[in-house]
Amino acid sequence: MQRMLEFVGIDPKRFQARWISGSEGQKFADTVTQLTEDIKALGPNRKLRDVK
Amino acid sequence: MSITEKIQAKAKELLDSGTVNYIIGWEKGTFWHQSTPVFVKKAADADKLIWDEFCINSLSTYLIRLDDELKVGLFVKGCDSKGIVRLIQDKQLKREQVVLIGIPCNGMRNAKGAVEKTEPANLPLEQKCIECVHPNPVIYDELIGEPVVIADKSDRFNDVLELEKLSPNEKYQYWAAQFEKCIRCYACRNTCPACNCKECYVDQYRVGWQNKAVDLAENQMFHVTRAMHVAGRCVECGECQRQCPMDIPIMQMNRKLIMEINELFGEYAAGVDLEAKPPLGQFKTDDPEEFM
Repeated sequence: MQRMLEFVGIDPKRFQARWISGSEGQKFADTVTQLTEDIKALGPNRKLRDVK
Repeated sequence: MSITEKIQAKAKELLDSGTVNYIIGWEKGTFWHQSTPVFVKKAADADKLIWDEFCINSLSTYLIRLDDELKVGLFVKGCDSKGIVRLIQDKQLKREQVVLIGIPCNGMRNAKGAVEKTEPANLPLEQKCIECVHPNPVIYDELIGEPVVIADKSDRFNDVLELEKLSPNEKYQYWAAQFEKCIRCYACRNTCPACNCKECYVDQYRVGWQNKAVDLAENQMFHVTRAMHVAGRCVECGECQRQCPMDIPIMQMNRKLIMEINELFGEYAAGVDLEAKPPLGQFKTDDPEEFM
């Protein structure tokens, strides 16, 4: 999926897939926090929005 | 005996003996440069069937949701036969339900822009035939005609490689211009032998995966999702792009995914070997786990 997004010109960092078990609450929280920070650093996504 | 005569004789034989309920082949269309799919149910109608340079339509798509009770005779080119393998692998069809008469194909001609009737040999080949990897049927019960020599078509990935060289913004601009054209007629999905879901995600409008609005954002969503849904299963028949009324380079996206799958999971040609499982349809302990 990341490779496909890159091919259509969208930053692949905006898409993450992780395998986290239901018993790994801390890992889930950490992953989402990290992802949120990464995306905030990238700024708003203008490309997949409706630009009308 | 010409191939057309052989087709007609074979169709009569199958219908007379009651082996099949009906035959799907091609008949001459309204124009000299058109041959359209035809369903023949009676032996007396078998004379309609023809074979010429315009039998471009892939017939495998007509077998999606075939009644379990029915048995069908089908004429297949290389691309049609890969579609059949796709449907059998996806459990949409049982092998016993089809009698396949293979016809090696020298490529179909494109008469777009031709005004006067000319010899088909003077017309350019269809794009999907230029890029065709399997001109000979990969699965059949009987073969009519001589197998065609298979040429090396590894250059069909060139336009993907060219596009990859561009910057992210240039790539985005390129695809935005393409997706902007899309009218979301879903012809690409309807003709695709890999798009055989009973209910497509785009039709589940109450769930809301895909908004019905036809604008750039939704079109992008549709095209990326469609490509991902056929990833690893696209048989490269090229029907999606040929049927696209807006000339969107759909195969360029499909080929991008084919390239990635070859790289990640090893060389795999979808729809060729009935026994080979699709790389995304099975689990191996040595699968790449980029996201783990």
